[in-house]
Amino acid sequence: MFIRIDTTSSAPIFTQIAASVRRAIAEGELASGDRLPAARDVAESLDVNIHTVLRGYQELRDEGSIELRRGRGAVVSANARGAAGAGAALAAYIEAARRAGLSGEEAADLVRKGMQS
Amino acid sequence: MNQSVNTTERQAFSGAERLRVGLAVIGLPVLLGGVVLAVGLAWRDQLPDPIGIHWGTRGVDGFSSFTTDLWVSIGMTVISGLLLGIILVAAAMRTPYLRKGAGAMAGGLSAFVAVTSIGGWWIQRGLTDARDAPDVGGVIVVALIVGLAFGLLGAWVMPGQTPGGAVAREAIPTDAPRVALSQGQRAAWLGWARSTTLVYVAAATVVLAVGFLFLIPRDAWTVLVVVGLVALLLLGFSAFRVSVGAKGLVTRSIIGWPRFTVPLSEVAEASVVDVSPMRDFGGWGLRGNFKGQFGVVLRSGEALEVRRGDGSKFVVTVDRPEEAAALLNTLADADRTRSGPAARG
Repeated sequence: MFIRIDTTSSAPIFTQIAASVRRAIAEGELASGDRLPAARDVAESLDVNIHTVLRGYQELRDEGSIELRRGRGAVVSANARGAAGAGAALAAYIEAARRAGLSGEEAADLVRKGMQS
Repeated sequence: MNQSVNTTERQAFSGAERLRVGLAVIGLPVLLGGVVLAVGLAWRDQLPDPIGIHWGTRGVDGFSSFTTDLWVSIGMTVISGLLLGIILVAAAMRTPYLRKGAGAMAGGLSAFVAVTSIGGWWIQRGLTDARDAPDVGGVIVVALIVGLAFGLLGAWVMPGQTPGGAVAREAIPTDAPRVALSQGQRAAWLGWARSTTLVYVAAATVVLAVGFLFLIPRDAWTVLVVVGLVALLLLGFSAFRVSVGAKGLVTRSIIGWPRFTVPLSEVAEASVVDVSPMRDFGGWGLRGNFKGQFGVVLRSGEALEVRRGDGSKFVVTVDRPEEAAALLNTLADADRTRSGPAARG
């Protein structure tokens, strides 16, 4: 799996790592049941802190793209494609909302209202 | 291109390194032969003559005069290590990992032979008739353990990679694959080299061993220990995590050891090769051949190959190796630019 980050970008590095994993899922390189690379290996290869990588994995788990299992590490979940698609759209939305000057509360409200209608 | 490679890949060995090679393949076997001689002479009066030299299922079934056995034991100890060591070193001198392996095989075999001889005498000390000698099984276990220890010693004595010896001085060839990486960007590639067949073989080994335990309950612990080790080794060699990044190319077993690193400074060129384990390496696993290739070969097909500054090549059978090769070339380029024109030579 290829992971690319840009240290000059305004997007946090953990978000960029999560985006790389989502792309691998979308392209079919990672299928459900596959194991993600060990966070330690990713941190060492990118020369970033391991907690940064773990935070990226956390984001993927929260959206349902992966499952974090004790002893087995991070595994791509069954409905990863859909979850990763939603996760990617959410990341884009957050980025756009920030640029539009919306607060977290306002951005969340828009999502809530949008899903009720 | 091959011309320029050949001029840089021939590494001259320093006097100290040649001494260490000599110590490993000649010194160790001769030393062990000396130990066999000294022990044999010291125990000569306490040993039966003829002495037992071969054990069958019902105790000793082969005899020899002690003097003959002494000389045969010394000869076997020295010649086994010497011959194996010289043949392997002559064939594998260029590849550091294989060279270490040659030292391990020579020292290990020689020590195993020496301990079986000495142990055979030890259990016959004080006997007047060799037919009363006890079972030799314990001696074999001790000989295996001592053989392993001397194998490690032989590998340690043998010179490995000369520090800095594999550093690449030439620039990465311009026609080698690259990825686009702009200023401020960092990239990593992570993959696997694995063999499900080896996992099945490990499982089958354990199942077979447990089956055998019911047949021969005696000596059960030795069987268990040996099988456990073999299964663990098979498992450890069945899957490797592979990463390309700031540390270069890192290949590590899922059990943590063994692990191989090719730092960016040693990358002369990374490329995609096609390997056939049987044809190119004579089998699967951690493999080397006399073309200077060494690596983790777990399936046939596409693999990542990294040529290092000394001409040796590290091979690992990963999926999508073209991405890994391109990134490794790109990172090695950047590394050489960072370390200044002196390193580019």
